[in-house]
Amino acid sequence: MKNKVLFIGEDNKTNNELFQLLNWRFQVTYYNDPVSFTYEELKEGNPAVLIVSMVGNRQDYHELFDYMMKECRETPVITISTKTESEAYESYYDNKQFVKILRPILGKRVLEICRKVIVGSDYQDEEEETSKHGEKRHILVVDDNAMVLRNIKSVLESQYSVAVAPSGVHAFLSMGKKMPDLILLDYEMPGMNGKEVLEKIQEDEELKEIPVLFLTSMDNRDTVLKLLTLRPAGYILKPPDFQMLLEKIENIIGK
Amino acid sequence: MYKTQVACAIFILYIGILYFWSAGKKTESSKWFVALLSCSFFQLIFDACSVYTVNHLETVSPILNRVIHIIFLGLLQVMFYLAYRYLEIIIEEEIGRKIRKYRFSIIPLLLTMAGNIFLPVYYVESARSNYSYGPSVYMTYIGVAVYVLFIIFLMVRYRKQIPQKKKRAIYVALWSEIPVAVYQIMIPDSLITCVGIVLFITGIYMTTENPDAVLAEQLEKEKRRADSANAAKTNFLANMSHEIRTPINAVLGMNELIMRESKEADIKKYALNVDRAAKSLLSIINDILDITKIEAGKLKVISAEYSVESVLRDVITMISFKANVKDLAFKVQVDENIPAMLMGDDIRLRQILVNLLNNAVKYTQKGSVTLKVTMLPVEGDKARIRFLVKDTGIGIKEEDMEKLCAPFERIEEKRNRNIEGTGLGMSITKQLLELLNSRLEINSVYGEGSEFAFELCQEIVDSTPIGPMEETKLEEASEYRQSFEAPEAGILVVDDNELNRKVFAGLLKATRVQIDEACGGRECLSKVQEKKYDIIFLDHMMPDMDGMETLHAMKELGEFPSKEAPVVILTANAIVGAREKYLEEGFDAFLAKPIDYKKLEALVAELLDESLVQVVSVPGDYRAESVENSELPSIEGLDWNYAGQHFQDTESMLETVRFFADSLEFEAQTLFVLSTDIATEEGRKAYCTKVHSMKNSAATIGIIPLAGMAKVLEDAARGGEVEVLQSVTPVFLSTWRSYGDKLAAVVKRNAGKKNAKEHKEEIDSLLVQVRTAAEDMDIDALDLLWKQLAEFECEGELAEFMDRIHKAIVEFDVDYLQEAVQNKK
Repeated sequence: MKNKVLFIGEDNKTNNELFQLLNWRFQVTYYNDPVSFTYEELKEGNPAVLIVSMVGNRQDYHELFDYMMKECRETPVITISTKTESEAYESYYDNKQFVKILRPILGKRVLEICRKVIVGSDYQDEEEETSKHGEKRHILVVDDNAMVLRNIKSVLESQYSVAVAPSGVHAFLSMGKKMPDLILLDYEMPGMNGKEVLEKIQEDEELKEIPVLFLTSMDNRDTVLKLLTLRPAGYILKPPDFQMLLEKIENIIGK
Repeated sequence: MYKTQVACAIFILYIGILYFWSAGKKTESSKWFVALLSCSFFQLIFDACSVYTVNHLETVSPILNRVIHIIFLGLLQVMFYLAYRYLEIIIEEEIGRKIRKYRFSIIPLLLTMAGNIFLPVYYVESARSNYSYGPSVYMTYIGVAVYVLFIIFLMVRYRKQIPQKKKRAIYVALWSEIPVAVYQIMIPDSLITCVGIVLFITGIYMTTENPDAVLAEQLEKEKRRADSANAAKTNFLANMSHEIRTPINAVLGMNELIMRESKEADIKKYALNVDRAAKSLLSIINDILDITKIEAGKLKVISAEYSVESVLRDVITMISFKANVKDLAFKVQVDENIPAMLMGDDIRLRQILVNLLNNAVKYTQKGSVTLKVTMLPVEGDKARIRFLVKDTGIGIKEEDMEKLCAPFERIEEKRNRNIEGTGLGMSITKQLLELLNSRLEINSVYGEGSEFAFELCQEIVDSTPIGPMEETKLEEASEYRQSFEAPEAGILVVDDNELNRKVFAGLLKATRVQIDEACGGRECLSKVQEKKYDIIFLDHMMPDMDGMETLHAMKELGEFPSKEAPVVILTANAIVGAREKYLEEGFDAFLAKPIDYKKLEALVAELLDESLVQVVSVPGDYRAESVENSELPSIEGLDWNYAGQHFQDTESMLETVRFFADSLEFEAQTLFVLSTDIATEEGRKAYCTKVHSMKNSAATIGIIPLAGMAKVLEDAARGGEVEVLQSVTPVFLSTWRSYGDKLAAVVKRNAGKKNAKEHKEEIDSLLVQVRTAAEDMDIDALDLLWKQLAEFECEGELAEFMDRIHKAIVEFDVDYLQEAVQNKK
């Protein structure tokens, strides 16, 4: 039973990616038009947490926050913003109900904080992931096309440790040998396709923690919608713009 | 008296029924029309009543009479108010926005109706009929007039916006109403307002509210929209075609430059891949654009005179290469009687044949592909030709027949996944045939093969039969050529230049003839006395005893085993008259240098005794492809293409180049020594011979600059130009030596080419590592291991095995790799 999360933010690329990431772990309702958001939806939705992203924000949230303090004491509010963006709401953070996440921050970290807040346990807001410090993060790339594997491997190799697998079955073998921090998974493969692999991953206790990015060469709306319903941590179009690919990965698991 | 009114009421009712019974969109204006209808209906009823009551003033209560009159007059005004509002709505619909600025337009109505009620009315008796008049009635006339004016005002103000048809309808209705009204005023007892009303309503119904008219208008709107969409699509197609092709052509063009100018073999290899992919992409895009054009009806068939033979030859050449690559037999049967020139679209015919044949090759794994072209009986001035493409491929299932020609559908996608293609070819072919007034006939047995046939009926331009398509020409296309084997024959080649001897031997390697070498006249003489040779090849320019002298010496030998052997002279001396001179001297034949291997083979075959020779077919000219093959390093001054002409295959060419590089220094030193003695004529002769030989070597492997320089020196030596020799020789020697470094790439690459047989253990251990790397899915290790494995030269089964391993590594087929290594063991 995934936790319900209400996510408010302007409709832009960063927020869309954030949404995909959150959607991977939680049951997210995303209001990408903050203007139209009504407080009734709060009461109805009864989310475990309200997340407000101030990226590219033109809204004023004072009213909303006041409402939250008065009517929804039990629902924690997490804001994702830069230091300047959050300055306007400084007063709220004295209240335990309000949690401030400052950007830039890793996607993984955001998820962690959200989870901790929902559970009600403490969190440190300055902590960087100290485990595995100094060692490269490990990425597994799964695709039936060897050329794609070679390409992506050569691009990522400088910053990460990379393993490759030509099919879903082999991917699990590879995961057994070395657990990856992130998986790039081809959506269209013969045999066990991307969908089936992701489902298997999500069924496994250990593996479901690993963020999975879909790789797809189909640029149409239908395919993208279909693969998004499977709730990966995100998706990338093939052939990938390598700059974007690195950025995306960095945003989730860091350098 | 009131019959007219009643009749009118019934008529209105009738129109109402017609209106409601029909289907059709009810718009805003319909609502007002309905209101107008109902209002007029009731108005007429009350009109009828009022006629009755006014003529029976005695029997009817005055109050009832009065009320009926009020209603009758009131409704009349309401009608005109409604008519005004109706027009307003129509205009609003037409221009798409509201125009009601006059919210107070209802006020006149209210006023006049009040007037009806409160002002007096009088009744007049008249012969025809009693009628009513008085201020009350006048109010009605005023009311009506006001709204008629409003209507006219709207008509004038918005005359541009209101469509013609509607305007006319309204005018008709108005002008039919007004005379009636005027007449009514002048002759009050005529009571014909009802007629006016009917005319008015009918007018509107017939023209604007008629459901059919409304439908027709809607259809016209839709049609206009569809037409503009279609035009947009066609323009889009035309633009996209250009937009898409331009960047691809840029890619191909730039890539071509990279292939030509790059010095690194790796980059050339990548570029070759890019070239293939881009060409494939271009062909797919062309297919897509074609199919969209055809479906938009934009593809035109252009008839022109064309040669059937040339179309067939082009197609055959293209396909035989592909069939050859897949090891399929490609059979061609062309009817002799086909006319030489026909009138038709040869581009499309080519396209169709290539499509069908490509498919046949694509879907056939073993066996054959056949193209059969037959001439059916002539119909007047037109020829009917039947084209048949047959294959022994995987065939098509009954159920899949329909899918075959559907665009973008490919049959048995899972099974045929590895076969490239968009699934458009068949669809395009079928539609093209329809454009050519033909039809595609398909016959297939699943698992055994398929047949595709179509017929074309075209006007004959030149009825000369094309005759049998020449065998040899077809064979040039078929990549196989006649050659021979003569394992029992023995040939002696005499040349002072070791490289030349090696080349010569290499050229004849495929014929399996035994070749012995002699480095000069003296060795030749001793060898011919020991062994019986079937042919002797003598190089002309040699030190000590040259070709001529050796020949004479042999003639004076008396009896010796090779006495009967024909003697061929090898010479670079190709001037006119040389041939006759040699033959006079006693040579049996001569062969020009550099040696064209085809001519050499032909000559040998001719000179050898028939009993020694077996005719065979060998793979033809694949040399051309290997020279384009980017595996050859780019070396400054070395023309691989020129070099390639002297060798049968890349292997021997590279071997020779290596040999050249190895003996480079030795040759240079030898010449240097000779160059110190150029003062004497003998010295110069020796020098000349040497530099001549060096010239040949350089030319054979394609280093034209060296060959050119050597020729200069050779001519100078002959002409006694000592100064030239003195000044140019050092330059020549340093240039010559510089090739040591330049050729290092070739030498290094192939120096390592080890024989697989001698390194079995190494290979096995590498294979074990391959297996482990495959298990670990270590793609980098696999690539590295292949680099090492590629250094071994393998034959037969091992070579095939290595090919499969290579392919599996490229495709990262880890399962296959593990299995293959396992099983080989």
